[in-house]
Order: sequence, then C-alpha cells, then structure tokens
Amino acid sequence: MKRNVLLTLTVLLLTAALLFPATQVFAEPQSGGTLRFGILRDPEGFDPHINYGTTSTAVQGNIYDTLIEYDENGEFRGALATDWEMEGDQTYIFHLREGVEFHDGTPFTSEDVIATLDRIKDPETNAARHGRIAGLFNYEAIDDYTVRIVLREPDATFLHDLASFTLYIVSARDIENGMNFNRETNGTGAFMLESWEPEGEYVFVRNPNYWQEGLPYLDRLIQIPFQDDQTRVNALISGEVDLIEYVPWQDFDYLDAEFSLFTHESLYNGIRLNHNREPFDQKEVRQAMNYIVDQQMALDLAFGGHGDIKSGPLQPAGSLFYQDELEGALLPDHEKAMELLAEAGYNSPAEVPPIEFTVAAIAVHSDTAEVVQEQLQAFGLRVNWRTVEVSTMIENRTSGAYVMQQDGLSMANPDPDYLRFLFHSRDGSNHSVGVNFENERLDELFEEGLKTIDYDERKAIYLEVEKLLIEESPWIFLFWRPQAEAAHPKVQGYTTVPGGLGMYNLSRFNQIWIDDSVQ
Amino acid sequence: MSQYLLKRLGLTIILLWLVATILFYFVHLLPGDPAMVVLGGGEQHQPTAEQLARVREQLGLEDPLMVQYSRYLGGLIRGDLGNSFVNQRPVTLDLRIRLTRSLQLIIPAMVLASLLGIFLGILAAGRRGKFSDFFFSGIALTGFSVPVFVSGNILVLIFAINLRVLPSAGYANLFEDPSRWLSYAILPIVSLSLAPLANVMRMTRTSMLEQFNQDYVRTVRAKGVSERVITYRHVLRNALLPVITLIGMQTGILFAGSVIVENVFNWPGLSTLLIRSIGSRDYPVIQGTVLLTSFLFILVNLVTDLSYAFINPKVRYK
Repeated sequence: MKRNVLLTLTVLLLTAALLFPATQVFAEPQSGGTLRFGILRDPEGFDPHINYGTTSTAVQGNIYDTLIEYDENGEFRGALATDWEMEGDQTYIFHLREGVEFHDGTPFTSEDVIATLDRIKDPETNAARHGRIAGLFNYEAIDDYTVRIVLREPDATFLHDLASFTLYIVSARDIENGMNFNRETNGTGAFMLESWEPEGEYVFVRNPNYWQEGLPYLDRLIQIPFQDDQTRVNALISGEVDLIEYVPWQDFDYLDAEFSLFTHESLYNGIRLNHNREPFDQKEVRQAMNYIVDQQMALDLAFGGHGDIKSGPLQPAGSLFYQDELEGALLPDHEKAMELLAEAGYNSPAEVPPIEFTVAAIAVHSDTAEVVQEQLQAFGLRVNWRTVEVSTMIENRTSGAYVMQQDGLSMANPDPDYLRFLFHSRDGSNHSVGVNFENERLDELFEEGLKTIDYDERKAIYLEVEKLLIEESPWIFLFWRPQAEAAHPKVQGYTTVPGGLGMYNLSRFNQIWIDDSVQ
Repeated sequence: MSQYLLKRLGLTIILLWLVATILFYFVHLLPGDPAMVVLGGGEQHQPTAEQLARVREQLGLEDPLMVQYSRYLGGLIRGDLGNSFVNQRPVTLDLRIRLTRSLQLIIPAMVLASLLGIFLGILAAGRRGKFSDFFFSGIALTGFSVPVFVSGNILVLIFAINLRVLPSAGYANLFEDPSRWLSYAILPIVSLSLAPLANVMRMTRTSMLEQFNQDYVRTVRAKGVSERVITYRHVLRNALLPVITLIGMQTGILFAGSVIVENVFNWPGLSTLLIRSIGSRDYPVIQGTVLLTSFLFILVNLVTDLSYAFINPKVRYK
C-alpha cells in the first residue's frame, strides 16, 4: 500500500513536471543580461528632435523620454508628465513627474520642458516638429512641476505631437552649454549610450537612476546595423543577435515557427492617380480602377498574404478610427468597373488610352505594382511601366509629374488627421498640392475633424471623409503592408503598439528581459 | 627613373582632378534633394517647403554650381573633403575609419589569393594534363564564376548557421580584440579572395606553360639542370611578370569590388559607406569615397608598374 502511494506520487510529480516545464508564461522577469539588436541601418545621429527615420527611434527612444507616450493599446499614458488636464478646448496643464534625473544627474523640471519647446521652435534646429511647436499660442512654466500649453485653435491631434518620437525632452542646461545633440546624449530614459562606432556597435548600459522602479531589466543593449535583409536574418538564426527589425516577409513563416515574430501594419501601399491627366480626368475611370484591382490578390502575391486589406480605405484594423462599416467597400467588381467605364464614354477597356505607371525601384513598391499592372492588363487596359529612382518618386508627389504612381506612406500617429496632409486642398502637401486636388466638402470635414475633441463626433466625421475618398478615388487604395520584428524565444516582454504605431515598438526596451532558461 | 616618377605623379594629379570634376557634376545631376534626406523626408515624413529651403541654404546648395565647384576644389587642395550632409562629421574622418576596415579585408585577401594562387598555378602547370591540373583548374573556374553573394551565403550557411563555429556577420576592432576580429573577418576574407585567387592561379599556370616552351628552358634543361631548379629559378621568375600586373589590377578592383562581400558579411567598410551615401544623397561623402577609391586604384597601378623594375632588371624606366 505504502509503495503504491509512493508510485502514484512519483507518477503525478513526473506528469506535472512534463506538463509544466518551467513555463515561460508564468516566469517572473529576470534582471540582467545583454540584448543584441540587429537594426536596419546606421542611426546617423542622436539629435532627439530630428527625424532620421524609424531606425533611429530605437536609439532616441531608449535614451530620451517624452511627456506622454502610447501604451500597449495605442492610448496615451503619462511618462515625464504624470497626468494632464484641459482648461476649455485650447489649454492643457501638464503635471510633471518629480524625482526624475537626467543621465548626468541634473534633476528634471518644467524648465527643461520649456527649453525643449524653445529648441524645437528655433528654426536653426531643423526640428521635425518645428511647424507644430512654432504654431502654438503660448507655453509657460507655472511652477517647477507644472506646465501650461495654450493652442491657437482647438486641435484634437496635439497630444499625439507630444507623444511623438521627435519630441523628446532634453535638459535646459545642455542647451545652454551648447551641447552637440547630434553626437552627445543626455536623457532621462532607461538606457545610457556608453560607446559607439559608425556602423559598428552602439552600446547602451542600464540607467541605474531610471524613474521607473526596478526597470530596465537589461544590463546592456547593443544595437548593430545590418543593411542587408538576408544578413540580418542570418544574424538572428546564427545567434549573432537576439532581436531584428524589418524582417523580410519571405522569412515570416520560418521565423514564426522557430523564433518569436511580432507583426504589425504601419505602412500603407496605394497608387496615386493624377486627375489632370487622361484618362483619370474622369471620376468614373478613377472609380473603375478601384473595382478592377483585387487587393487581396495583390497582397497575396506581393507579400505572401501577410498584411491587412480589411481597411476601408485608409485606417488599419485595430486603430481607434477604424471604420467597420467600410470593410469590404472596395472588393473587386468587374461588371461595375465596365459600367463606370461606359459612363465615361469607353465602350471597352481597349478604348481607354494607354496609362503610364510610375514605379520606384524598391521591392516593397515594385512587387505590388507588378501585380496591379497584370490585373489591369488582364482587364484589357494598356499599362506602360516607368521605373524611377526613389527620390524621383518622392519629388513627384509634390510636382505631380505622373499619370499613375505606386506609392507608400505611413501615419505619424494613429489619428486620421494625417489624411489632411494628403487630400486637403491647401494642407495636402503630400498629394493635393502636387496635382491641385480639391474637394470643398473634404476641406470642411478635415477642418472640422481637427477642431472636434469628442471621439464619437470625430469618428462620424472621418467616416464621411473616407466615403468621400472612395467616391472621389484620388488613389487606388490597396492595403497595409506587413512589417515585423523577430526575436530569439529567450527575449521576453517585447510589446507591439497597435493601430499603425509599430515604430514605437522599438523605443520601449525598458520592459524587455532575457529568460535564461530558454536556449 | 625619377623623371619617369615625376611624369607619373603629374599624370596622377591630372587624373584625380578629372575624376573629381566629373564626379562633382554627376553627383549634382542625381535626382533627389539632399535637404529632404537631412530633414528625414521620405515615405513617412514630408518636410515643409520653408524647411527644405532653409536646409538647402545651410548646405550651400542654393549657390551657383560654379561657386560650389570652386569651393569644393579649394577644399580638395587643402585636403578638406567637407562635412557629411547627414551626420555633419568630417568626411575625412569617416574615410579614415572605413578605409582601415576595408584594408583589413583587402590586404589579407590579396595576400592569401596571391600566395595560394601562385602556388596552385605552379602545381597545375607542373602537372599539365594530369588529374591535379584538372582538379585545381576546376576549382579555380568555380571560384572565378560563382558570384560572391552565392559563395558568401553558402559559407555563412555552413560555418555560421549549421556548424556554428563562426559568427554570421559583423565587425570587431582589430586593434582592440584581434581574436574576435579574426572570427568575424575569416569568412569575408575567404570570400573576397576566391575570385582573385582563381585569376592568379590561371594566369600563373598559363604564363608558366608559356615559359616552359621557350628556348632558354630547353638550353637549361640540356645543361642537365634539375626540373626543380628550372621551375623555381628560371621559369617562375619570368612567368611572374604578368602575374604581378594581374595582382595589382585585382587589388585595385577589390577597393571598389568588395561591396557585395561587405554587404553580405555586414562589414562596415568603404563600399557600404558609398552605397549609403548615394542612398541619402550625401554629396560630400559620395565624392570623398569615390575620389579615395580612384586614388587608391591609380596608386596601386603605379606601384605595380614600378615593381617591374625590381623583378625584371631588363625593365628600366627612362
């Protein structure tokens, strides 16, 4: 009998050991260790107010902090400001966190916030947010830990500016001492830059006085640029690095099975139609284009089906202003396309004049464009391909020197106001200005949407915006293309921010820890 | 000799001036606005027209092209290549760092290719028509025709991913940590040496065979000198002349041609700098890198020509 009990116990224990082998899910974060991170390219510089591209956010965002930041749901939470409130529609009061120190030991106060805003306002800085900060009505320190910012007009997107990766808070004393922010760093963030070599290793060490108790977990963070996609993936597989960004989609499935893959949709692929040029001077032809192209097929062939097409047309699923109602509004419908062409006076697609298709020589654009060209030709349209340099493609946006152009874009923040910079007749520096696109109702809606603070009201406004955009069809709306980071399974605590905010994934390494039990 | 040297140096300066001038105008012909890059413009960010104008002004791009050209040439004469548009570092500083790194691959690769290439060439020539000749020639032909992005990736697959004995890619400082440097450098050096090795080997073999058919070899042989002495003292010496020209040329080519190897193995040398600077329209860096590469190419050729004199006493420059 006694023996039986022992046997049962042993079996039970063994079963338990098999079922719960030091499960990662329940593991407590461990402090210590080094994370080696393979990045896309050299960060170039460290100035926290200049936009060097997303790769640099991994450098800037771990050294510096913003007043407020995005949480895992893409909503605002306090960072250097603990909380904030509004007085009326245009005045914001920020209460700053006490006891925070810069890496050099200087205490953080409201003086630093004011000096930072002054620095961005100074045109000599070439700050990315210069226009936004210069456009503020007023900002001032009320006391050491309170700041008041007054806007000229109500602006629903203002908090996004404060959370953005080019509005990091720097020390007033450093500005006064004329520090070269491009080459030296001194922030309040979780990591301090210890040493670096151009295109070599960028070595960060833990900030022992970081304001978040017990964080960061990592002792060291080393960032190494790998320009070549395959080389970067090889480095992860061979154990040279523990985490990589910009994973080519061809490697998604393999890395998802063998490693940890973090996918998100932050970049949009679409095709500009110039409504001043034949045949797109007729609205019906532009509309027809959207019904000819099969977005799902384009995504399948160009990105192996990874990514998101549900969006209708310009908000990624999971973002605050995603419009369920428009899901599937742009499914292919060749009969309807034929009818629309007939309305425009073309009895068959062959009657439509040949279309020149401008495409930049980068795979994320040209792969998509090839599928679209095939689809248009299969429908009977004549499409002539024109390859250009990336910079020419970018210049075309403002010069309008194209008939139809493959393009891609990202949102700076999850607010649909970014559409204003495309399709507002005067503010649309990224589209309207180039081709003189104008729709009075759209202009009105954009201006109203910017001033409206109430979420439901705003959502209704942008629903009308998107409907109008489908109606006008200034673009062929395609899909949110996939992007991903991949990590060794021992890397824990990596979080992605939804709603097109993937670029912020990389600026929050304070939560990451290494699980030594995983090999 | 000194007159010849002076003439060659003069020619070098004229060549460099030509390269610098053509380069300057070509770089300015490139589509794309450097100010856009400085302001982080691209797929994700669109700077305002005023910001662009201000940065163009700061970079001196609003001046007439002739003014920019004379400023650039004036800088060149003083040895100043300007500052990078993107990170504001002096171009000479980056070039010095990058050249040191590139040389850490190019010099060992060329030494390896030359020594091994000559050795295998002699071996193959001595056993013409036998199995080892076919074997080594076959290997040479493969090394010659397989592109580096294939051979490099195969090496990574075998040694880094399957066997895990070497890191897949990266760079370590030779002067701070030589053993780590070696672990990173060994695969790129081998990949880089493959093509020149094959070339040197083929050239040595052909050249040796040609010399073996010369009259003087028959004479020496008739005197009863051993085959070994014939090969190494007589034939090899004469056969090496074209091989040295080839080694010189191959070294020059490597300065510009290490681009794929540097890319595959993520070695941050001159070529990666060039590619990046073209991508970001960083005019001073593009100009500096191409100018330095051209200068090295010309220099290597000069040294090669001069080295003839030491190997073959018949050649004396006038």
